[in-house]
Amino acid sequence: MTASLVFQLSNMAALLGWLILTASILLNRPVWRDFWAVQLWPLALSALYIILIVGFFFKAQGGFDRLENVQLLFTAPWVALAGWVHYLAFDLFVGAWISKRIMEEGLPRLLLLVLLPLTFMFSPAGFLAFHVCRQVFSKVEVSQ
Amino acid sequence: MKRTYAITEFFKAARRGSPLLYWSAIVMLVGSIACHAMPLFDPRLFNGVSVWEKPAKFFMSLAVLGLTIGWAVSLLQEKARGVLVSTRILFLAGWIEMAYIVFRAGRGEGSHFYTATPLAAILYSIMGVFALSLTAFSGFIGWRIWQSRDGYLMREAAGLGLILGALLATLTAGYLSSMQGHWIGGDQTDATGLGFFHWSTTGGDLRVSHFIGLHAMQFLPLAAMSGDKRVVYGVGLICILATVATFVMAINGMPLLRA
Repeated sequence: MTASLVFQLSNMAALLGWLILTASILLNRPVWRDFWAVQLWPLALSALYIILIVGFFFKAQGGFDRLENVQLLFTAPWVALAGWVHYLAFDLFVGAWISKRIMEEGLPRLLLLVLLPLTFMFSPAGFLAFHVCRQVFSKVEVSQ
Repeated sequence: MKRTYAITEFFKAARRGSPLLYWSAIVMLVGSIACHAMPLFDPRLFNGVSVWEKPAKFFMSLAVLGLTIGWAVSLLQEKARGVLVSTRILFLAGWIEMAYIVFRAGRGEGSHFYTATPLAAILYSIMGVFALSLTAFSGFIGWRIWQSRDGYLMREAAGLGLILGALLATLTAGYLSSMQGHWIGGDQTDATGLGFFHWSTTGGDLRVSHFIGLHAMQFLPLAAMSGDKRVVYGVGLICILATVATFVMAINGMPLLRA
């Protein structure tokens, strides 16, 4: 298998994970979300990540100490792929985790319409937006 | 009920199931660590990596096998004589393999596929006999556990895992033994292989399917931790398919992951 092929496959796998997450929200099946999107899919992607790191990271040029070294590290296709799989795994996990918190804390489900696409594309932005939403939409006691 | 860690229980069970294989595995783990440290003192290379890389791998592999067998035997209600004798044969076969691998590694020579002298050729074929007893008696123990499964999922998974792992490992090893080496095309060196596993990134490598096949022994019990029978059989099926797929890739000269 080439790095490009594994890239395509892991992208498809991640997309499928997001579809399961979406289905679990639309059909109100929290068990699907907790089993597939919180655990199994991110775990499977993490397993792939570990294989790539063990197989290629320690032989690659570069390192984490300087930006130039990080760039050098990502010039190796398999190492760049490992970095990408890292995104895929954790983005899905964060997306599923946000959905879980929204549902369980009784926050408006419609928020997910914004939060999930945001997490899918730019997950730290989605993560931060969730925490803002959580404060903004929290229930408060008001006196008459 | 006292709460404890699954891993602690696993080691305790392995020791209960077969003290012989348990302590043998502990020694082998130490051996594996020692071999990993050897390149600090001994810079010699074989196939592009330290001569001690192979004993390190086989120590690790046989330690995992010993612990798995010990743990699996602990699942049996009563230990039949055949099972006890099998564990002793596994102990003996494992250490004979190890002794020969360490001996050849120390001389900077190959062990598997090494037939440069008539004596080496004979010893290589004797290795085959002991390697076959490792899988055959693991499979036999698996069969006895399978027979006594009695609706208990972990016993079913452990038994099936040992049988399946033994079968897939023997089939892939049988093909390996008909070859001159485990590489098909590619660089024919571990230097450009994957990290840790050293599987070829440039050509076919028969070690991949052998590895995946034999670890059905561990994958199936791990799947049984889900408590769902379908997961166990699903993982079993995946092991078979992955073994076949990686085998077909190897004989066609394709690396698992191409550099």
